[in-house]
Amino acid sequence: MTGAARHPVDAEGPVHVEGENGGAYRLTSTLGRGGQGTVWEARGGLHAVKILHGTRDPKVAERLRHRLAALRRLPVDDLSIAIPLEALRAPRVGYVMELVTGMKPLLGLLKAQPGRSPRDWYFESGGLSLRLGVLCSLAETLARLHGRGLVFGDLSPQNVFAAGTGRTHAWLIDADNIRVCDDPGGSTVYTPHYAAPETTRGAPASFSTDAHSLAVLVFQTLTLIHPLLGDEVCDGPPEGEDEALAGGLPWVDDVGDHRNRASYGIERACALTPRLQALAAAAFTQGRLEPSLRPSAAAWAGALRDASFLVLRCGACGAGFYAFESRCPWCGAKRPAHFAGYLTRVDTEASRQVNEASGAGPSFVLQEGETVVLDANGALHHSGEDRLPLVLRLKADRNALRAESLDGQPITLLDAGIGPQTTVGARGVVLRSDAAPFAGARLVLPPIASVSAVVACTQVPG
Amino acid sequence: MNPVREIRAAEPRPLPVVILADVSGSMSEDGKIEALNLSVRNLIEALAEEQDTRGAVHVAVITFGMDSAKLHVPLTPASGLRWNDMAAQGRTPMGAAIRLLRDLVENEAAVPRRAFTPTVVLVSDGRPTDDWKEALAELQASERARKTLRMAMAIGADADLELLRDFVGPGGAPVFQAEDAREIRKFFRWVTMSVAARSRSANPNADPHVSPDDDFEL
Repeated sequence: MTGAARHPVDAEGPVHVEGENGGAYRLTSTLGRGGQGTVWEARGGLHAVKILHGTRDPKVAERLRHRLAALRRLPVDDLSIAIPLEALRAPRVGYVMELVTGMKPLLGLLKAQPGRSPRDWYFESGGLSLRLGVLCSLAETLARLHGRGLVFGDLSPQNVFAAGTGRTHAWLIDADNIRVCDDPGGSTVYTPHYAAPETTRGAPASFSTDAHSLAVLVFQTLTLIHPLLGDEVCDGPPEGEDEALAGGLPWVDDVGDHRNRASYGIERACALTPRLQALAAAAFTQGRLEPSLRPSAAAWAGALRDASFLVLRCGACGAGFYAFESRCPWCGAKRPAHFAGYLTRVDTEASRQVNEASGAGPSFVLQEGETVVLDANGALHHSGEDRLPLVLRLKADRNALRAESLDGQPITLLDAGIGPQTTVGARGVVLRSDAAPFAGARLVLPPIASVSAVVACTQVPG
Repeated sequence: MNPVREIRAAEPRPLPVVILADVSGSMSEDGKIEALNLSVRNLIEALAEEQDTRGAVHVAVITFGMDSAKLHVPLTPASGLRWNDMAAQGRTPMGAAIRLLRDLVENEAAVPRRAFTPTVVLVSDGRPTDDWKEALAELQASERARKTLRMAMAIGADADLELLRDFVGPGGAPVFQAEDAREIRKFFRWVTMSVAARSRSANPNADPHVSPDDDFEL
């Protein structure tokens, strides 16, 4: 992500600001700039300070103070949103918020660094896995916010923050735009390129306007192009952008209408699973001008989460890519050996499958050393997540798949062809075939109301 | 088909900033040229930091001194620009500088069609020693150059205020009058904030109407 810490623009030395409740903050570097204001990191890294541009107007300060007080009454303190702590002391207009140390704006994941090979930058900044993780976390936070009847309002790469390393997580700042859906008294603040077409025409913030901004962020972070700005628009005069952003042109991947085609960016099949491609098509074909047809934040969260279980790491170049490719799209090396799991839910009384199998593809892939856990409902989680109750852990370990029951309940193993055991207990079972790679070994979890999650496991050689 | 994929990233749209700097002999007095060098260096550093997916600020500097105008720095992305200080010497061939500006802005290889409208900044502490009237008329008649957003600073009492007002044009920002080195820096902070405001605005091609008395400290 961009840049070393810098002092405020041309200020003669570091700048101090004070909060109304007496907090003193020394500003060290810019974290992000938007249409409204600039967000600074305060020394120590635990606080960020937003200062509104070019205003010392007491009336603006008073309105902001009201917003902050209203915000503190909203039920958002358990979400990954930087809650304002205190307003700044006059004459400055702005507020202090908590910050998670080491986080950087999402901008660093979707804008290639000038003068560098876009390909090197893409992988060094986290590649496919980190991007899917951050975007999934963002979509989940937004879905939970929407579930409470609230909208974020001005989603942009400057106010979504992401962990640069380690556990992937997104954090939203600029919470002062959060309000009740369709509040006509809401502000009209928006960020060009990320605002929904109706926002630029003055419509209030809604679930649908947030959904458009999210869809743009997801598409752009994964493919590195804006979904509404194709080659002709990018290479033409700046005025041409307005029509495209207002929805006046088809989107870049429109099937029938090629006027807005894009040759830039990452080939879609390398960046998006078929389900993510379908959501993008819905968001930008019908949903572009018909807000009610846009996929919800929850739909994006589900598709991003599913995609995150399908990434393999190339043994030759280290790049992440989807397991449905037979070769690494970045270096051409053969797909590495792995285990594939196919997750279904079966009604054991009626003896039928409850959900549709997700096409021909697996639900997850595991490479040597990797782990996946299932909860009682048969939902997948990456290891290290503290979600309970968990029932099954699968780990790829020394060329075999190790299964373990996590709640002590026995799990039925239906294909005994790979070993003598027929149940998996707390001590675990190693699924291994000494002859050919095994296929279709089924693990049946204890049923909940007669529905069992079934994991069919297959060994895929390299 | 080659199975190995490459990534082509779209270049951000250039937002050109062209500085016309008076480097005549008189600029070497009272620390003026030093203040100008420092100010332009700060402007480049600050605008290189301007983060956006839409545009990237490019900076060019045209100097006028000795007997001619020169392209001291061609249009270069601020983030990759290595600055070399300007030296002050000789006369004030401002007309030549305005011609060079017009040629630069009208040249599609230098300022492509996809670029945002350039911001042009003229800085002078004296009266032109060449024929500037014709050069300015040509500029005002040019298709693209006349649409540029123009700002100007008069340094000291000897600057030609009328000329600078003509250069900026009736719709432009007021000519900034600087008495000393400190005010030269204040002017460039104003320019920096104006360009930054453009790059963040919903319509970067419009004049952002930042006032020189706004709070630039942040």
